[in-house]
Amino acid sequence: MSFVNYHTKEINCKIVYYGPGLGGKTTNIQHVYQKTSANNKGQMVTLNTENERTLFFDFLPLDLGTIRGFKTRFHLYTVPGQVFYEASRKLILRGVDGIVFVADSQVEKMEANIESLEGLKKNLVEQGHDLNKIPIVMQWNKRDLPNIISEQDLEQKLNQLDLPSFSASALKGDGVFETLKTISKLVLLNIKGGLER
Amino acid sequence: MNLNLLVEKFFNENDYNRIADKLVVMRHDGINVYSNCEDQFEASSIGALVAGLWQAAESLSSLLKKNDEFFEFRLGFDTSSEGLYVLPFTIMKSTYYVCAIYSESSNPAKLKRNLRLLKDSLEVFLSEFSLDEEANRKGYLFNEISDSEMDNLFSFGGV
Repeated sequence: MSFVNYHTKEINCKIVYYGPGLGGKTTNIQHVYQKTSANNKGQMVTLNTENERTLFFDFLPLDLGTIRGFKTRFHLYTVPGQVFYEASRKLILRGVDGIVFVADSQVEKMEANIESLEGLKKNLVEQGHDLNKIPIVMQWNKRDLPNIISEQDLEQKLNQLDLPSFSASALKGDGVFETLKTISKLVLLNIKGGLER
Repeated sequence: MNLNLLVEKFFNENDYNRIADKLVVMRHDGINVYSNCEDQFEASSIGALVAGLWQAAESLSSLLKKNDEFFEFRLGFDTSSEGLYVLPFTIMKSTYYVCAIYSESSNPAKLKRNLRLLKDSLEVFLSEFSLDEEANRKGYLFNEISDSEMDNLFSFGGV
């Protein structure tokens, strides 16, 4: 749940990168970390297994700057993608303001994408979110690899809600900031609590 | 009243900052309300980790037989001289945590007791105020945001 401090004029929002295992969620926020100046970011926290798979979550606090006098701080999280970490994913979704669904474009990963997306929908509904109201952006990752499914097929199979979508290669940095920018805007527009009382 | 201001006032009026090297008060989702850390990014990381830690422990606690609802859980990770200690408290039906991170403590038991006293005092202090500022606000904070405003926010990065 976003938190606005009207006295200090600060906005805190939580964005979660969700998707199947090895889909590029951590790579997304690693790229953001690498491309952000030290003044705008904190240390990236990673809770990994020995083979560098996400065990619990990655976390990156990011100060984006000021909008209409409000300082914005975004808390970027990734969930562990592996199927058996479902309980952890549910915990990390608590209080979420916006979601980036990172889909793996490789043909053989389609089933995993669908399973992960269904899990996301189920977890959001369980936590009382309305899928038509919570900001979600789709990212078609790994577009630089061979043997990928077409974007039209990805749209048809994964984006029936007609959410904003971006093609990306997180490893190269393509599409990473475009995705983050869009979800940030949607999250900011979704913050309740106007200036008037 | 604004919660952040009240908690800051509480810490300024009392001498609790000396209890531990780092003290952080956070919401249940890990967003900080107060910290005595100089590096606010470090404080953010502490907030995220402690909230995750608590939630994971709370999920595990569902496996316990809870015979007595009177007792509150607390969470510790420590050696005989250093560690962290987390206590939950409630304000206006919302859960918050206070976390102490300490090192080279000659008396961790006393430190933990002091943190429990801090938590109790903070609860009493905050119960005297009405934290209804945000609840009374209507509509959305931003009705529209222009592309140039977003470009400005992301001027540090790759877009």
